[in-house]
Amino acid sequence: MTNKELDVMEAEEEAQLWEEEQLTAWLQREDWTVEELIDSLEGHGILGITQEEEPYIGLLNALPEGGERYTLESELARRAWALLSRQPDAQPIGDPPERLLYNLLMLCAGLAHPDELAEPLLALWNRRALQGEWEGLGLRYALSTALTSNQIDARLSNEWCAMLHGRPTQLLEGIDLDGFEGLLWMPESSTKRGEPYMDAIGKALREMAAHLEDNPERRPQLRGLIQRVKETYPDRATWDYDLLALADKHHFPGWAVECLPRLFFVRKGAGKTRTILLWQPLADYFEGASRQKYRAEGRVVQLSASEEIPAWLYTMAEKVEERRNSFPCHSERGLRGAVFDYLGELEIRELAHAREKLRSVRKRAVDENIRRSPESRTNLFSPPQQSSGNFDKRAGVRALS
Amino acid sequence: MVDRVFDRSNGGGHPLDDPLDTWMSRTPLDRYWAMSCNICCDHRVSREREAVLLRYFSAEIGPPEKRLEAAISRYLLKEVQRRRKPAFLHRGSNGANRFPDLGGHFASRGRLPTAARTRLPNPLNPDLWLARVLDLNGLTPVFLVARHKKLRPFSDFPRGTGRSPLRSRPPEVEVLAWLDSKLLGANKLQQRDFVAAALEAVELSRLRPQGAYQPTWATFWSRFEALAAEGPERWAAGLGLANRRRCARWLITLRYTVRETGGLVRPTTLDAGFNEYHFPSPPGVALQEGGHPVDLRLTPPAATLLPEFVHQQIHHPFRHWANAGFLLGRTEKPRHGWLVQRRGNHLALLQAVYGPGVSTWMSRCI
Repeated sequence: MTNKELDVMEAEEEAQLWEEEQLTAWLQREDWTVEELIDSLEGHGILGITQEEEPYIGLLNALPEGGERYTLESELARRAWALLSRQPDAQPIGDPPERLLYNLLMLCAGLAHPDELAEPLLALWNRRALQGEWEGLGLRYALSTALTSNQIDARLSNEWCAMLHGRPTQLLEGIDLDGFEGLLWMPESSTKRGEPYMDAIGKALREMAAHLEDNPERRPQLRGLIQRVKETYPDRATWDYDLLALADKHHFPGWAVECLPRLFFVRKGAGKTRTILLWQPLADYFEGASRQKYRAEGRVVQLSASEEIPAWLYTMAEKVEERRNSFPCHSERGLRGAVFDYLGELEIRELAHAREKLRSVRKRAVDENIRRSPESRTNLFSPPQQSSGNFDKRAGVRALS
Repeated sequence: MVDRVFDRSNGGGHPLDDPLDTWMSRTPLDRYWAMSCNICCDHRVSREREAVLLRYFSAEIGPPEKRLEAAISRYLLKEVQRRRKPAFLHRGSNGANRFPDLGGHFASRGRLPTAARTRLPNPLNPDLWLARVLDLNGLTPVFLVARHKKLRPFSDFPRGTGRSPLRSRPPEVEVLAWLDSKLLGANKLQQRDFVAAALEAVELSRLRPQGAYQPTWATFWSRFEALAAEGPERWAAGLGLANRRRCARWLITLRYTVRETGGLVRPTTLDAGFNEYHFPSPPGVALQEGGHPVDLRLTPPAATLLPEFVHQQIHHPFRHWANAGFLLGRTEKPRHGWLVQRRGNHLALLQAVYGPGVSTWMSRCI
């Protein structure tokens, strides 16, 4: 990086600092007026004239980051509350009023300060007076966005569920993904803020899986949603197991279970006993382990092993997990085909010492899958059946046979 | 021979090649060797931040290895600790280590197709709880200011031998003896009064020009909770707080939300200064996992990785300590030395969690 580029970067920082100083000075003034906030949300206020972007974006960007942000953010939220209390949905303010309302609601969404904003936004929702649109986006959609990030309890649960199911809501607007996000950000109660509401998330994921059922990109899209769940609450160390428990409890469809980040868990029991949870097509590899039950629509088998599990089985299961998690196509048989292909490679490359044993198990599974017609895909959910890879026209994946 | 700097191929002509080669070839393996590993492998340092470090490097005089050591310390002081907006908060130069902001996330809603939205990175929930361990012995400069201002519990804080009342530090043992006199044998109410006063003194110091002290290191409370129950030795070891002195340390734990930090960031080697107990997180690890502190416990080695983040120094009101259940403790053991073993344990744990690719990335370092 050249010195000139560094100078440009520093100049940009200075411009940013100027905006931060303007906003900070206003937020620290006690003699502020709501009219000043209205002007700013109309694009000609504290930060000067805004033309290139919506004014709320400029305001959010001008909030300084770091130690003072929380205090200033809270103050801006209190001022937004003051404007909301003028009921701009029922008594139009601004010219045009839609622009002001849109920017106010999106400012609330970006601030995400439920302590100050949850109640006034819920009051606005309760009035049922909001209508209109700005720049092609409905104001009710903007309200949904603001409410998503400003929830203190589960009061909007029914609204988000209706949105998720594509049913009419009382006022809010949005698609299934917006309903999903509403549930994802919704705490179970005011004392449980910052904790995921597991039941709501389980229902939301199941419903999204149902929506994606026929989507050719259903696997990457569902994985993206699952990742979203983990990213919103990354402090939870047990997500992988929790997601399997949710799939079990809320009856995720089989393909959705196969999109979970992990289907291989080993738990120590008394002595050398191990309880193993693993993806059903791999169950036959664990010879000597007794099958206790099937979970998550039969896609996961719970085994109990009384002897030490050989290290190569761990290696195999871990590597198959990676392959399963990167499979992009719609087809379930394609997934199995790809995985059995990969197992063949593993036998040759890395697990040569166990090659014959592995091959016999794999061949049995592959043969069985070949005999199964593609239409019988849904029957693969039934637990005792074995599924395996073969040629799948839709996915274009060829498995070893 | 060093072949990369900040995990980027150096093309055989990087200004830091010489000093890093010198550090890397040191025997026995020491803190300079550890720092050279960190600088070679820390992919989290952007080209922009590297360029600023190189400015400091070229401004120093003397042998290259001394210049690099000075540049790292100077970078920390000027760009991180004392800067109004520390380098780790800059969007332009440290964007890869920052979480997407909520405003940007919600602004994109409704304007993107569904498939594109599911691929967007997600912001952190601002209501998540963080944990921070604060070393009271390390607050000497803060207590000196408080004594100078004649604040009640600090009036008998020991004096240093120098002339300046704010800069001459008393010996560590005297600070410990003073803290013992306030906390050891005190009842819960007296302890609470003292910690409340100490937190007020920290805030008073923070608001002075040049008084802020960045960065603050934190982890997720839910991950720290298990350590919290194991006592102060584990809090300190688990979070990688080395104790280079022979003195015991008084620690308190604080609990507060992500929202209150004003911006949580994944740390880099440059934010840790010349700290051999810092260890970069492997490439490809999700931002949400943050960095990972080196657990300083030698036996048994740690079995889980904690995440670590940094943020700007913030006001810690008394409730932050109350939120953590008034955790206060005195550590006796030094946590220093055995560098190769401690870093080796950490690398083995990284391999166990993130796979064998980690050893390729850090191949020269253990």
